[in-house]
Amino acid sequence: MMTQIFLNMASAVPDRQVRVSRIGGRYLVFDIEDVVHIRRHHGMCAVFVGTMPQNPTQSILLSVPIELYAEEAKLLVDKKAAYIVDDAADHLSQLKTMDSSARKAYFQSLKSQRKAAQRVFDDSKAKDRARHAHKVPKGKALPSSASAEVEDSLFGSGTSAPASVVAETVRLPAVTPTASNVLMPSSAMSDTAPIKVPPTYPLYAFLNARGYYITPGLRFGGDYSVYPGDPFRFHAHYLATYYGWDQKIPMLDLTTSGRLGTAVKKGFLMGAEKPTEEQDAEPDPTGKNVRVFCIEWAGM
Amino acid sequence: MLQCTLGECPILTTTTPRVPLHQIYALPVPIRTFPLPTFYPNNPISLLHLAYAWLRQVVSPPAAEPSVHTGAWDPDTRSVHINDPKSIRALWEQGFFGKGSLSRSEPNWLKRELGRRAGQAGHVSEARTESRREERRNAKWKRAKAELEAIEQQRLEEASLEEARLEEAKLVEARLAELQAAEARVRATPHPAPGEATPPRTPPMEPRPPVGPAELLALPNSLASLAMKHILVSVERTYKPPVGPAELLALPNSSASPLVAAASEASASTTPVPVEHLDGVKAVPSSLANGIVSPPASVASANGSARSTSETREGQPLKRRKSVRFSPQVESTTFQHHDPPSPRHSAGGSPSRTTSVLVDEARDTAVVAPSPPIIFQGEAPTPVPEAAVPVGELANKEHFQLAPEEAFFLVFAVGTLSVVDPVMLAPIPTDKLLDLFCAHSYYPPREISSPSRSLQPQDPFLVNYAVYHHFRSLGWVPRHGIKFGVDWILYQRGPVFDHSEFGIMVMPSFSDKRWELVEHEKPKKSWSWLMGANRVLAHVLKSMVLVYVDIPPPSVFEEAMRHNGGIAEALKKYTIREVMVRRFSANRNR
Repeated sequence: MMTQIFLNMASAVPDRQVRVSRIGGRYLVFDIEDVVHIRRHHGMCAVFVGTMPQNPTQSILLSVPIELYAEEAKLLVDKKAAYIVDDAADHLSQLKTMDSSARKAYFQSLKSQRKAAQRVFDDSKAKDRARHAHKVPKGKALPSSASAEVEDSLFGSGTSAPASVVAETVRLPAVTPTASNVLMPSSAMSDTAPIKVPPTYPLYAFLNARGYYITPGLRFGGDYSVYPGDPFRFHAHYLATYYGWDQKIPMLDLTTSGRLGTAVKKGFLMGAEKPTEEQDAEPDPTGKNVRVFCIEWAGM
Repeated sequence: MLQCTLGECPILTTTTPRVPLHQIYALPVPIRTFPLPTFYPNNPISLLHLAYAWLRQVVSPPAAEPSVHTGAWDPDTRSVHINDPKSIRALWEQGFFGKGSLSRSEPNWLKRELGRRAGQAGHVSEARTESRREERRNAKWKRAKAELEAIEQQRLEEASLEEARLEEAKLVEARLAELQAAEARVRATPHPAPGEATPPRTPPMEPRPPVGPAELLALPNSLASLAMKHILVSVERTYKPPVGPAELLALPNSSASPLVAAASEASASTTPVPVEHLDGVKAVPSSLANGIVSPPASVASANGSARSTSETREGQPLKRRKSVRFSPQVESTTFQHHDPPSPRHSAGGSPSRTTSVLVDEARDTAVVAPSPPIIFQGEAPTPVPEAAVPVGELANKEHFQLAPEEAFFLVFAVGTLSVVDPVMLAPIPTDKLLDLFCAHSYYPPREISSPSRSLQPQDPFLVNYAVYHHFRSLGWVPRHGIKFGVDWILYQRGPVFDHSEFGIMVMPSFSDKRWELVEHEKPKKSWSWLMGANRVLAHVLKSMVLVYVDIPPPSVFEEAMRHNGGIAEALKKYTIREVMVRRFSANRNR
């Protein structure tokens, strides 16, 4: 059996409602704070699917939003740590009902973002200047300031100082907002449509409740690959496959998975959920009815 | 049962010249043919030759052989058992049918066993595989050992460097002390004359920011940490010692804990190592109040480190930083019955574990007398001292197993096998045999006698047999591929000649329109299954072939079975398509 790692997550989880946008049947999280939160406190890393605005032509490094699998979205909702928003409808309705004060506040927030960006640029520029200041030989330092004045006079625009002031006040850097949470501060209507999860959901919930990190296991011919901690730090320990409680497991599956698990140094983990008496009972978010076993290949 | 004495055992008569493999395995199926020579009308001598050959075969027909072998159906293992050694050899050598029940494929248990008892590994494939694995294990262990030694070497070098730096730091310290003393002397003279002997180059010692390396080294905490580092390095491994009583109690062998506590107390009272360092620090004149005398905190830390080192030397099982351990010996994975359950797998906490690996290894090899069969570091494999076992007569405990598809091929297509009922010992006719095999291709086996039960075209046996027959008749040697997670693996000539190139997965396909009206089981194969199976095959350098079998609808099948001559006609209704699958990754396959 697997060792059970109980992270005392429940005690340390700050109360935060993650906004999950449902767009085209996919579950996306746009806010970077939310991304950090669910990775740290709910053990879900999901997949970054957004391009980087600085470098849009590559697909090696991606950025927000992250796309949650249906299992993850459902688990978050079941744990009451997130709410689903149908983003298209939500945007339309909220933008239509916006009054002028909200609009003003939005523009104000945009402006403040741009100012903040300008401040960051200025700071870094000042730092650069400070770093290169000692490189200028001392003998040249005085004439250079003098020559600046000369240059000004040469170009004949006597209004150089005011022009720069104008540039600083007017030409703030353009900012593309990555999330629209400023635009819509209130989480108006959460979408209550049921989330369609694959039948493997109980196994996912079971493993997640025990502190494992889970990524899809298609590469290894299983449902999930299961990490004992953040995948940045660990290799996967298990190759998890879900079966029905009474499902017959083909012999070839056992040999394939067992052999492959051994070859990539992972345990082949099988899990199934015991059917409950109630017919339409929702699967339990802690997966307490799930039984799992691990199979290892032994050289006889 | 085959009785074989040691004297006439084939393995020991190695002086006989070896027959080349292609002669032993010349025939593709267990049939021998005696063709008449070709007759050329323009060459009258060929007629003579023909007549001679014919007459010779009429007068003295070729020696009768057991051309029809007998096997018994075994419902428990779902295979056909063959016990006659001649039949076994014939079926194996002529077409690579079946497998030995105690062997990987070729039935050579007896050969292996005799070889083992005589203390030599025979030329059997299992032994070769075992030795190859042994070699690989040895190589891996040697590599790991070399890496470990390199790390050890590096550590020693760094320790010596550290010592040199410490020496340098002491020198610098001493020089600083001299300088300070000189300055103090200079200050003691109240009003020096302008031309008098103040040291001209020494600047006045004011509190300056410590910029140079010497000053940095002379700072209090860095010195203390240096000393600490030095101590730790001298023990050559840094372990985190269990210091608190709770941790000590939590140790696995808590009976040793009083000893540990005593040791720690003793070390606290004596502290042999850091005394000289403390002395060294205290020897600095106290006038250097500007931050060279080590504060009490650093003394305490030095003490702490000393305790830790002495405890490390005491050598109770410590919690290591990494739990990777290299056993000093490479152990074989084959265990005999008389082997102890775990040979010398002590807890790894023997007191000398902190000493270097080489010493450990030497002692281990010296001490352990009753060694299990271990090949150690290229030593010659010592013969197993098992001469006491009576070698004289040895019954062959192995039988030969034919899979249902192989048996049916031999019965139906080639006609060289008759399968008998295990109870009645009467041969089973071909159509009954087909029913039997089809019924047993389900689990649990279906009833044969029930009237509702008749052959269905989608019976797994029929589908598998169609594939088997297809590849056999094209000259391939198909064998069961369960150990690679596929239905069949294909050899071009046979397992003794080459590795198999292809793994075959049988995919029943209900492509005929008339199947929509008939209820049938839908084939369910998932993507994850495909990825897994493909990856397993890629590991063993085989290609995956999906063989789609278009199954005829029941009406067509029944028609062929009833009116057109039975299974031979019905099998013609199956069509087979092969699709080779290969994983393509844009990054890798450039």
